[in-house]
Amino acid sequence: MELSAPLIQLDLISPQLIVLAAAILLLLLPLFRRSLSREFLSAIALAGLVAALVATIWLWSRPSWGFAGMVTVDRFALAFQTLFLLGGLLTVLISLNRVEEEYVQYGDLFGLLLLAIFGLMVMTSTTHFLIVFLGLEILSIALYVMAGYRKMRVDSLEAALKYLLLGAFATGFFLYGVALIYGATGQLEMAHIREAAAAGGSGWLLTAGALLVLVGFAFKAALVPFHMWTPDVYQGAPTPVTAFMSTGTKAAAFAVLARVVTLVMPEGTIAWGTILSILAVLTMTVGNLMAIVQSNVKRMLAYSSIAHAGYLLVALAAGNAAGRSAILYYLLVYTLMNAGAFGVIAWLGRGLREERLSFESYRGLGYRYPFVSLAMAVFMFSLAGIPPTGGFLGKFFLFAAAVKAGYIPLVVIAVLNAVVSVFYYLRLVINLYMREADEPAEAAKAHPGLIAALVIALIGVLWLGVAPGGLLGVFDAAAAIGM
Amino acid sequence: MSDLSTMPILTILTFLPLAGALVLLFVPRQQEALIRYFTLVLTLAVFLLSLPLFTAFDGANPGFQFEENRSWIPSAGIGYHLGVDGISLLMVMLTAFLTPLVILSSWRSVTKKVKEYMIMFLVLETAMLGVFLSLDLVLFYLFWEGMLIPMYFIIGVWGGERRLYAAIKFFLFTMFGGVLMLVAILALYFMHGGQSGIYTFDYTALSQMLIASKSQVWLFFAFSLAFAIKVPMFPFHTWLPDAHVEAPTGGSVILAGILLKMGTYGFLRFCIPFFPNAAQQYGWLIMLLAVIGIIYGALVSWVQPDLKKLVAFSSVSHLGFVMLGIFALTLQSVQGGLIQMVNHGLSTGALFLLVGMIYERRHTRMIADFGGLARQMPIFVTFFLIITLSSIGLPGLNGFVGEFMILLGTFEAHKIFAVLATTGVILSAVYMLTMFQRVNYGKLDKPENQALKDLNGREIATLVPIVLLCLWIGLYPATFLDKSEAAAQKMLDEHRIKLDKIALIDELSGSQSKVINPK
Repeated sequence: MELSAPLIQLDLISPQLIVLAAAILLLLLPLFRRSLSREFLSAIALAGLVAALVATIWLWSRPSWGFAGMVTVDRFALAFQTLFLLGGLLTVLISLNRVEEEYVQYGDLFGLLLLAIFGLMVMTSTTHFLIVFLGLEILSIALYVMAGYRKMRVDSLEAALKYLLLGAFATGFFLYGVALIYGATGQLEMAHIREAAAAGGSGWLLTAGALLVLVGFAFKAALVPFHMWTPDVYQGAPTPVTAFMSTGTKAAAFAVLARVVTLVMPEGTIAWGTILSILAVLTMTVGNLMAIVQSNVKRMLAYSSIAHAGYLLVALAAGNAAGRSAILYYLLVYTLMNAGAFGVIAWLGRGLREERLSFESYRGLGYRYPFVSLAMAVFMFSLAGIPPTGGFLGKFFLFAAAVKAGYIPLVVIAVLNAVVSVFYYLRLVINLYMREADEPAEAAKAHPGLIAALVIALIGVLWLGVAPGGLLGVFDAAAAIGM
Repeated sequence: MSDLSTMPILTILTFLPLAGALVLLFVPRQQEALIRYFTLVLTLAVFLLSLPLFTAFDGANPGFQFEENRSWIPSAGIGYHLGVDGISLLMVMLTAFLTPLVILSSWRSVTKKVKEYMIMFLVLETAMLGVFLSLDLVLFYLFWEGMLIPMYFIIGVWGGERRLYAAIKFFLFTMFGGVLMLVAILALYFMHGGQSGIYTFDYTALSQMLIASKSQVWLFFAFSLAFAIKVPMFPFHTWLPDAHVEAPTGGSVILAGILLKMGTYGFLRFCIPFFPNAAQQYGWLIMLLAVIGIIYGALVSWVQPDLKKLVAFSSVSHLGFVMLGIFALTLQSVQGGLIQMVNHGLSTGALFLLVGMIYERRHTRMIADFGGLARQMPIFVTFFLIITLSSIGLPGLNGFVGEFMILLGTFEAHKIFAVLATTGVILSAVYMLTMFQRVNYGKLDKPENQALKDLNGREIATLVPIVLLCLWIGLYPATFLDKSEAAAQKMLDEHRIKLDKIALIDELSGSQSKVINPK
């Protein structure tokens, strides 16, 4: 028998390769020259990300498959890659603001970040479960290290350990699910699984497998009731890392979930709409209610990110192309506003002496630091979904997709949840502008990189709130999974 | 006025204040005088710009005028569509008229964070004008919710003791109603798309859609809840006294003068044209709540020891009249409701200004702390008297015209409601005159009051325009009624025509209603 070597099309994975090369460079370079400044290292990271972005845009007009069906570079994948790269850019810029007082190896940090992004890109640009697993592991291992980056601090180590243990569980669920699916159909590629299932009828093995895959990604996307790790990890991890985890990882989990929901099971064999609706209601409601009672800003944002996963689920439950397009739009806005909010915390949260993470410690800063406070107010209003911010239009599209599919009660629950969320987002605004500080508060000087990140996020959030322009067409094109 | 038709006058009007706010962002905060004058001049410019709009507006044309229709987010059917008709014209004028007066009234009373204060009012003016001028439902919603942000800051930063509570309550109440309306807007959008194949949020398209009366009901209530909270109608009024009492004077004036009118405007603009059958079927419920509001608001006002709370509850009562007029659905009552919206804006706005003026002097709003002011502040009391009489509807002043037309129009269609509402007229005389007497007459026995200074030139300049307008509407309301008559008539005619058409659809029922259902 003759073995034909699979076709290697490196151009298809050029964005991934660029990011990987930059990551390796960042990890190795400090070994040879110890005195590299963080600005220099960040320049390498930024250059890598921008080059990958260019490659992604170049691929936009020529989506295709490669590597014997192991790699799917459709527009859906490319749109998500763009999101990850954007999130990565913001994270690098935010990290420039000195992650911690302690000695930090910036080469390692940026290298790991780029590896994580590489993982995200791998797992979204495929419909093959084995490659999804590969990407997921690359991502997770990088994140475990990053979460524990403040190695002299107990809460950072706690975050890393929790993330490691629960992450391992999640991966276990996912693998077990994949194994069951393979057992039922003998296939690992999503469309092939669907064909096999449609031909041979779909047994309970397949359904159980699909549900376990869902659980695995529910952990990663922090859906209730698989969210328990989120607040502790978000609180303990360095703020820029939290910014990345809350945006990039969540986006990737939704990308895979969208593929699984759309591709794997034959029509009518599993009630995805109902299952996802129930998850959506739980996730939104628990996330919002828990966020109300938080006194730590980072924990509040952790629960808020859970709630946002719930809003995204509403559109995923709709199960239509409009929903996937809305998910992309919302994830773009969410990346900007959430990374922006964590960026502000990276700035204002670092008082001269201690970390400022309670709501009260933001009192009266609005007039002392007008720009950064204004940015925070905009991010909060956007997270709450108040026009004219991107958060509003994003929610608008999400809910429109669900109304289109007839999920009106679900949308009613979602909009009421949005009202509840106003309560805790505005608490921060109240402290910034409507309460006086007991003693004049000081924040450390911010790095220009951080300021640049905030400006990008601020302009982006406002821009997406009034003029989505051609983006909608781009996302509509991306929403058609599998070209 | 020939260039008025080619110039995007409505866009300029709407976004001029916002542009001013952006400019102010870059003015150093120490330049308080400059900031004040800049804002005043800008808001006056908006008012002057609105005058040619009023004169050039053709009252005989019942449709929208000065329309601007551009695509905005075409792939989602969202347009940038502005226009003004007889129903919104008066509201636009009222907004442009009151804002500079509010800026003037804050000249001395707002001393901290002047820059932010002025920015917030300019942003607020853009949002208010946008609400009245939008003819696309998403655009409308954008302004409707966006308006919450500046008002939230105005109450929360410059308000009284319990300002944080009042600000968040205001925000949550209004948003709660708003989001349910958003779901209904989305449902309308898909209904229209399903019926005609055209997916659009455009007002003119959606208002022509015929919806089976069964599906109208929940949509009607989703819209109505948003507007009823804003008006506010009994029993959704509980945020209002808190917001009014805690807001700074300028905030109270705008809140009472314009923000509340957005609710009544919403009923006229959306609820009745979109959902004629539901409005017909459940009109009694709205009118019942309106009458309860009229009487309840008046009774509660009667026992208020706090001047601002009294005026706040009187708003509940006055707006009950407006709602009654709107849902009685006769030409006279609807026009009366429209003119009463303006009247309430003027007289209640002025009352808040007057309360603010003595509060600035005495730092108390308790009626019991005053007495005998007539001797000490004759100019103040003269203005107070005129406004009080306008508020209780004395013939010759504006309040009479509105209330009389509402009651007359309602009596034609719903006698019992008209009779019950009339008691509100009497009660309003009772509580307003009692208050007026206790504040201004009697002995000037409190030493703090004996040193009170009368109004200064700036304060008089704030009140004179309002009083003149009160007299104008009272003596020659035709100037204003002429502008709205055709539009009101058209609204009622179309309402009747639509009722008949939908009755036909309902008869076909079954198969037909399934097509209309978004699923």
